[in-house]
Amino acid sequence: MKNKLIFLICLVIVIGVSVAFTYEARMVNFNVDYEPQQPINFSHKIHAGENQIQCLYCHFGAEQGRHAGIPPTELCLNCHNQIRKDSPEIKKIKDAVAGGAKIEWQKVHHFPDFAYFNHSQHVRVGKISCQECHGPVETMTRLKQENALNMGWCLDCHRQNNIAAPDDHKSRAGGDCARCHY
Amino acid sequence: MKKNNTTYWQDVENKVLDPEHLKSEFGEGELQFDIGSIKKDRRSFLKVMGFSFTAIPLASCMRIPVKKAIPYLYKSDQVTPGVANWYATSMDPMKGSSLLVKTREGRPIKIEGNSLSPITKGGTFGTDQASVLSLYNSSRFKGPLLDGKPIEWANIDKKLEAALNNANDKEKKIVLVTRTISSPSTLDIIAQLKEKYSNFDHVVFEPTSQSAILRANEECFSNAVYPTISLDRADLIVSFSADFLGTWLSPVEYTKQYTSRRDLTIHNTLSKHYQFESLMTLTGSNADQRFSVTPEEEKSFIINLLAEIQRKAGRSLLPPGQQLPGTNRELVSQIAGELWEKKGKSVILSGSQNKDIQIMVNALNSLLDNYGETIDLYENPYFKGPKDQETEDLISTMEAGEIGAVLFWDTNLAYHYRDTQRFTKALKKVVTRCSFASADDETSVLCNYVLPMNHFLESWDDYFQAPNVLTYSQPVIQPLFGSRMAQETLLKLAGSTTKYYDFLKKNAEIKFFKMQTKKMLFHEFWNHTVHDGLSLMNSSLSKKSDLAKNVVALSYARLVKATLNKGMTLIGYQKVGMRAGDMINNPWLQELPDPITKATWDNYFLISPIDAKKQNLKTGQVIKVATDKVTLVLPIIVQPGVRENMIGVAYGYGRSVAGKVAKNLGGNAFPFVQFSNGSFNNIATDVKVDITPEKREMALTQTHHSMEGRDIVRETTLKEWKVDNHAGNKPSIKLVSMWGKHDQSGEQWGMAIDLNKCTGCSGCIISCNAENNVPVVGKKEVHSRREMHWLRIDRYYKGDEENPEVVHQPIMCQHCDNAPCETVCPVIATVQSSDGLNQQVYNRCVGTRYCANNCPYKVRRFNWFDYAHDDKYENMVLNPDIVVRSRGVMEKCSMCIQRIQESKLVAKKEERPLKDGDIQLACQQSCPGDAIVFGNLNDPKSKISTLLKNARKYRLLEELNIQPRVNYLTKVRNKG
Repeated sequence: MKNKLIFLICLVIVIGVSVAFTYEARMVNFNVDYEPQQPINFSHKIHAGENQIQCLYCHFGAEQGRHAGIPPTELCLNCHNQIRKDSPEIKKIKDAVAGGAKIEWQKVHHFPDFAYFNHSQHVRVGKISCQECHGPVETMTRLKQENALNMGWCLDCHRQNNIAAPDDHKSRAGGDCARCHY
Repeated sequence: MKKNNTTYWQDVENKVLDPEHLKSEFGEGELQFDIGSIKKDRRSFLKVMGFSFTAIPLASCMRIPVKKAIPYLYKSDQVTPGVANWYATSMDPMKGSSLLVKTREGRPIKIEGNSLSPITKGGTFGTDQASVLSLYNSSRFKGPLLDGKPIEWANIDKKLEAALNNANDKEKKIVLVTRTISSPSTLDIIAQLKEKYSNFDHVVFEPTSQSAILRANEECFSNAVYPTISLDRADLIVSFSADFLGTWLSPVEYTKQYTSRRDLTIHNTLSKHYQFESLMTLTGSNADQRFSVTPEEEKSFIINLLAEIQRKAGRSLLPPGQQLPGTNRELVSQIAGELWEKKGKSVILSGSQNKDIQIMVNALNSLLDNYGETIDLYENPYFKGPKDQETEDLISTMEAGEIGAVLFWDTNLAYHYRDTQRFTKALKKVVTRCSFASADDETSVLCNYVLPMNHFLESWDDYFQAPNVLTYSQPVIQPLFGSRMAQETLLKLAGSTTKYYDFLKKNAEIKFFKMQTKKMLFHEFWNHTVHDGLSLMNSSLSKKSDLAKNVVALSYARLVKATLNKGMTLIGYQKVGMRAGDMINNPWLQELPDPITKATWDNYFLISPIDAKKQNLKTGQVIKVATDKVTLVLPIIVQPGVRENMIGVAYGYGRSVAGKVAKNLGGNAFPFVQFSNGSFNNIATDVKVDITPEKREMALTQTHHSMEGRDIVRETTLKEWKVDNHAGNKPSIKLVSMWGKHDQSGEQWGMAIDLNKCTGCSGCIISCNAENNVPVVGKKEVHSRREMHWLRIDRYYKGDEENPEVVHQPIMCQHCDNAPCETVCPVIATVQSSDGLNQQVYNRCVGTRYCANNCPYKVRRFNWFDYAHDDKYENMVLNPDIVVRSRGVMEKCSMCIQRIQESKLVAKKEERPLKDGDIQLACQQSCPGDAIVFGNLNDPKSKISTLLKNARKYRLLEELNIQPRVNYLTKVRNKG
């Protein structure tokens, strides 16, 4: 009898600790404030903040399709053929373009593959500003993840269902599972 | 209708429902896993649990792994990551259709029909759809081989040229063996080769040759072309063993035409189709009336029919005063009467490889004035078809040692030729043996030069798909495995330095640009043609269809003397998915259930129920069929509708050298091919049959989807339908529901399937596989009833076993409003969406399978395993917009939710409402019969809304009040 009681208490403690850890684990894995070192010291603060370059100039994919994308390396040289040609960071880009080497960026915003997300749907149809999800990127020297990007966070918006849509078109953001999961 | 409930049955052995059989589906033994070394006792359980508990907190200490993102260095302005590009291309017209190819980030992932094509009109078959997977076949050659050793292209080119020059200098023959060629540029290159080498020969070989038609047309009309048939203009179709809806000549084209005359939502009558055949083909299963006959009976019938028609026409083509062979005279005069009434609006087809039968059929069509109406014989200078005699001559000249070099282009004679040993021996006498193949085959292993050829998605080519339709094949991906177009090599051998692309374009400029008037400038013409995949030539076509005299009498004399079958007769046929076996290495096609037998991954003997009863045989029994030269041992399938004493066997199987998919699958039926009367014939008479004690399990999808005798398929006859449009149907019943109604505002999706237009060709299944990343499970798992197809086609028989009527019914998730699956899911992984779809949420599913148990349609599929996704090439075919499901997850038809979402997004971006027809589901798009309609039920003008008002509309198992969103339209047969 006593043994059984001890076993039960132990079991409750083990399960309790596990649940607590698991819960904590979920919070950690949302990766908020993730701010990895990048291969090139690129500053969004200088480009998007001080110099006021439009987000879509580089991340043109956000308007066209599913992925916003990291701009093709040659795009940097549109400006940097003229500006700050001799900076060591720019030289990395020039060398990569000239030598055909790949630049391996660290992905900051990671979206799981069991959900479908389309940038153009939100940017062009929903008319949501980039900052709403990505935070004040124009103030970030090194990019970091601002929001949790988990399902609850998505649904906060989707439930409000106030996304702009053409007037004669009833379909709105919606909370159906199969809007994202397929 | 009640009477019908008892008359539908699924197969011979299951005609009476066997409770034992049902048990095996859910039997305990079937569902057990091998869980390896873990013992099932208390201590092991505690160990596993203890490990799991400690592992969870440990896992929580980790960050998610670092992911790299590598951008393009230079980006093409046409490729945007995540956005699909579509290109028009075309398959060789003898193998496939005009196509659109969807590419994502430069890799082709899906094939659809090109709706601009006046021939296939957007339809595709399973073989077209599956060809994209063959592109990624990792057993393809990785580069050229000389004597089995890798070599550079430049070196092998030089060596091959030297070898050919050597052969030419020694005044030995150089022979190029190809398939049927419909490419004008390729024919030009071959003409150049003929000029360069004094002793050059071009032989066309088709493994499942239809050369008898060409020979007959040559003799009758001096015009050796395949006929251009317009079934849409024919009120009456009489087909003798021509499987024109499955494998004969251009089945996609014919299916489009045929079903356009089976549409009772537009017309108020149907064309009439009689089919005479010995085996049960897909075409026969769709006929209004089918007659099960032997080839000999078929011959007698045709002769008598011709006698009757010539009497009506007042002509005498047959020699007078002859005793006609015996046949069913009543039937002859009935059909002759109907044909005469439909003069100029009928068509008679024959799939026979006996030239004389084809001549009789030509005479019939000629007497009925069908030429110029339903059949056209256009002269076509850009076509070279098979002449079977040439292949026979090739072998004997090889044996005589007269051939110095032989080049096999996409021809595998060591497997396809009827006598492999003779061929192999003969080939040894040839010094230079060259093979243009894509992967190792029986012939390439015998060749010293192996020059891998491109897949058609990697190639440029031009074809005359019809005498007035020029189509282009354009590459949509760089060659994956270091292969090269065969034409590049041939051009080099012909001494030219141009690339094939330039050659082809020059040809277009010189020859074909002039044949059209739409575009004034060449570059405009070229860009449009490549963009559309085709161009219509409007230069007038010359026809040649005046029947030569005396031909008929001569062939009649030959025909009455010949005996077409005697004793047990073996008839070779093509499976709808496999055809001659070109794509035998394609797992999608292997797992496609045959539309009639529902067998996968195998070939087998088809035996008539009468013969089976006589010998007490059951499906799975292995038998030995032998002629004096060859034997073949395979299991049988008892196939209703097969004529007594006839045995069917499919070609394409039994490969000894092939990729991992096809190797040692089934048996080779080509050795049974006979060479008679100048043609390769698929009928072997007087074969010996021995029964072996062995039994083999067949991977059939047939019996375990039994509908338990409910009125799932509703049908009627045209006569009854004309009296009452509701004939055969039951009015829908109003039932009281305990559930509240869903909010049904906004878009509400629904589907309708016209059973009168579905031929059961199964193209939709492959299309669904490709679109939705449906895994292939393999023969063993299909046998365990674990195939993963989201869409299946149920086939039911009705009537007597010897010649039953057949119906095909596509079944996918019915997207019920009151879905039984939703109420039993303990984790709410399957729920109703606001637009009326039944959603399956994979990442929420824990795999209880309650939903599958509660689904009355049995359309849910469970991932028993993580199916193989370890081939990095084959993975490239996966649709990146769809998840690859993992083990333990339930899945089913989603109504191509990704396509719905995409079309909605496109409309939203263009700031317009969604139009009817914007959304095309994968199955719907590929259907060559246009049997599937999908759309918004709340839009009163949509096609689906009008169809649902049709009197033929019904829903499956309506009495359950589960309110399915998929509707069916009753089948109407034109008989009685």
